[in-house]
Amino acid sequence: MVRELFGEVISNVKVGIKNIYLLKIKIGEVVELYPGQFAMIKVTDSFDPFLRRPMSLYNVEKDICSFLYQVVGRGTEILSKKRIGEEVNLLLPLGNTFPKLNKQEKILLVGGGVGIAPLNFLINFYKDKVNFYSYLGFSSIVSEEIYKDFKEYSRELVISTEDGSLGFKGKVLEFLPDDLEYFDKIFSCGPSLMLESLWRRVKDKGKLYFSLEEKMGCGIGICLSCALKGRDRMFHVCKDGPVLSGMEVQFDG
Amino acid sequence: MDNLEVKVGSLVFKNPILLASGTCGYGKELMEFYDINILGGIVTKSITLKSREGNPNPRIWESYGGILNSIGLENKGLEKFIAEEIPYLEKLNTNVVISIAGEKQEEFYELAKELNNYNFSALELNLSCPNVDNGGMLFGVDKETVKEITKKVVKISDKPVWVKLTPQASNISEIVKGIKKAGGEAVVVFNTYLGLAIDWKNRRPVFKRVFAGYSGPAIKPLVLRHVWELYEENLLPIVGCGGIVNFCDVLEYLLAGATLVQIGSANLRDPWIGKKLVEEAREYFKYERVNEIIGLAHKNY
Ligand SMILES: Cc1cc2nc3c(=O)[nH]c(=O)nc-3n(C[C@H](O)[C@H](O)[C@H](O)COP(=O)(O)OP(=O)(O)OC[C@H]3O[C@@H](n4cnc5c(N)ncnc54)[C@H](O)[C@@H]3O)c2cc1C
Ligand SMILES: Cc1cc2nc3c(=O)[nH]c(=O)nc-3n(C[C@H](O)[C@H](O)[C@H](O)COP(=O)(O)O)c2cc1C
Ligand code: FES
Repeated sequence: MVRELFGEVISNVKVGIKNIYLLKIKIGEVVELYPGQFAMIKVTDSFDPFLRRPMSLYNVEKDICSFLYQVVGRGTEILSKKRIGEEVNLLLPLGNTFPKLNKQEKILLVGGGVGIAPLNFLINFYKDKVNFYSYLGFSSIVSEEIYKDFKEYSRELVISTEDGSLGFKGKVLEFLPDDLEYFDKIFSCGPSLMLESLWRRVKDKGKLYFSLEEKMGCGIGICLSCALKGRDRMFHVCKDGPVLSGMEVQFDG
Repeated sequence: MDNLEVKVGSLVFKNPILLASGTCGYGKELMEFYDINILGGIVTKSITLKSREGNPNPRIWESYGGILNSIGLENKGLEKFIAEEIPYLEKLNTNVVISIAGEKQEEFYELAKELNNYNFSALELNLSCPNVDNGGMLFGVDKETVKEITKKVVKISDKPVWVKLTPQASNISEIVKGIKKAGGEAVVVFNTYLGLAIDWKNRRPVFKRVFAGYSGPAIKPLVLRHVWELYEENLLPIVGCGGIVNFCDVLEYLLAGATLVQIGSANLRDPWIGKKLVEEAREYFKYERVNEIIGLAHKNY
């Protein structure tokens, strides 16, 4: 059941030079939440900006939900100014979840920028019950705090930055292993160009799962703003997604 | 009679709060949030004869104090609507208004005819959608077309007929006169305003169809003005719609002359808004009837 929760900011700090922030909110009760799900955050009580902002759960620890976000416009700008103790109104849980993982499965995670958020919740959810191989790409250096769980729970962790300020220099897809069929499942979230080239590289599209983004009015399936043309049908990312399989998506061109 | 109760034409509403078409799905989506039977009613997402895929992305964009949308009447079409939604809607214990739309006039007649077989409160003619190439707003700006469609639907349908107006029309009161003559029972004032958004980062219009529908708090004063003017003309009951986000807004509409209100964009921000407004109305109208304040502002200046 979707809830409206009034959480309290317990930290909101810059964790990357490209205006990336980690926001932790104490929601005051334990809610059943699964990797892949997202929240609609009301960034202000005034009516401007009007809409809530969709944000993937980056982690959930007891009654604390964390979000990893990049400041890209008015809403995230306001969010970045929230101080400790301020109230934040959240709608959650929303959307579907990543598929269940089996013990000892070999899972490839490919994250770009703040797209690592849902993958971080996933890795924290299974920890060492599953064999994770993580490939994370950023445009520039980020603080270790945001990838420390990948470091702890991955069999292998590769990080790259476009300017070479952290890890390898280049786009993370350049560093993926050649044999992608080796993995049981592949999960990815990040810029759409990255998702598209990954999709082209993986033969068995049924193994691939993306967490997708689309502009959202409501996040609950009443406004039809978030339509996305899939291979065989239209999807509404807030209800049918945000997680869609490689078999369901379609990339133009 | 309950203080909150109001009548519009042949229908009784347990309170004046309705949810607007396109912002409450087909009703059932909101049942997960609260029992929508407490509302005065709901207006379902506009349906067309054949299903429509809707417009390409993006479909929504923000502007100060409001949003622009270009959904493009995505809907499942009459057949599926009847099979999947009507059985549920027929069981609701509140007024269900079914919004219909079409690119050709004949589609309205066909829809009205088919829907005669089912049990619901009223038909709302969407002659005001700004996000389609044919029909919609283009019908709504032309007084004769509005009158003609209304007249024929009134003849065909066994339900009360409401018409949802577009603010793009230059002669609103003439249009309403035509609707009254044609036998319409109420007018909904308004659908969205035609607006434009430019994506300055990419230096192009945001929406593929360039123009889109503007709604939300920013349009409230513009709509209120028309509610006021129409009330002065005393033509048909007015259903006010535009920019309502809280209970003060509801009161403003009633005082300006609306008998009912519809809540649109606010549902997107707060799925419980309908429930909250009904609860506040109960509180506010403990010792007074809604009927007593409709249009009251006209006496107080
Ligand atoms: C399911 C989902 C999960 C997301 N998770 C994260 C996350 O974990 N971290 C993160 O940084 N970002 C995430 N995003 C993207 C995030 O929602 C946008 O960056 C944010 O809404 C931008 O708001 P703004 O006001 O700063 O930008 P503006 O450009 O001013 O926003 C204007 C409007 O466009 C929408 N919008 C702009 N960019 C996007 C986008 N990329 N996706 C969807 N809507 C957008 C806004 O919500 C708003 O309605 C997610 C998006 C979705 C759909
Ligand atoms: C996302 C969205 C979808 C809408 N779809 C419809 C529709 O299908 N039919 C219709 O008559 N009006 C539609 N509208 C218009 C609303 O019903 C309402 O008239 C308008 O938004 C003004 O009210 P508001 O300011 O309270 O939103 C839509 C509005 C929005 C924001
Ligand atoms: S965001 Fe409203 S339906 Fe998906």
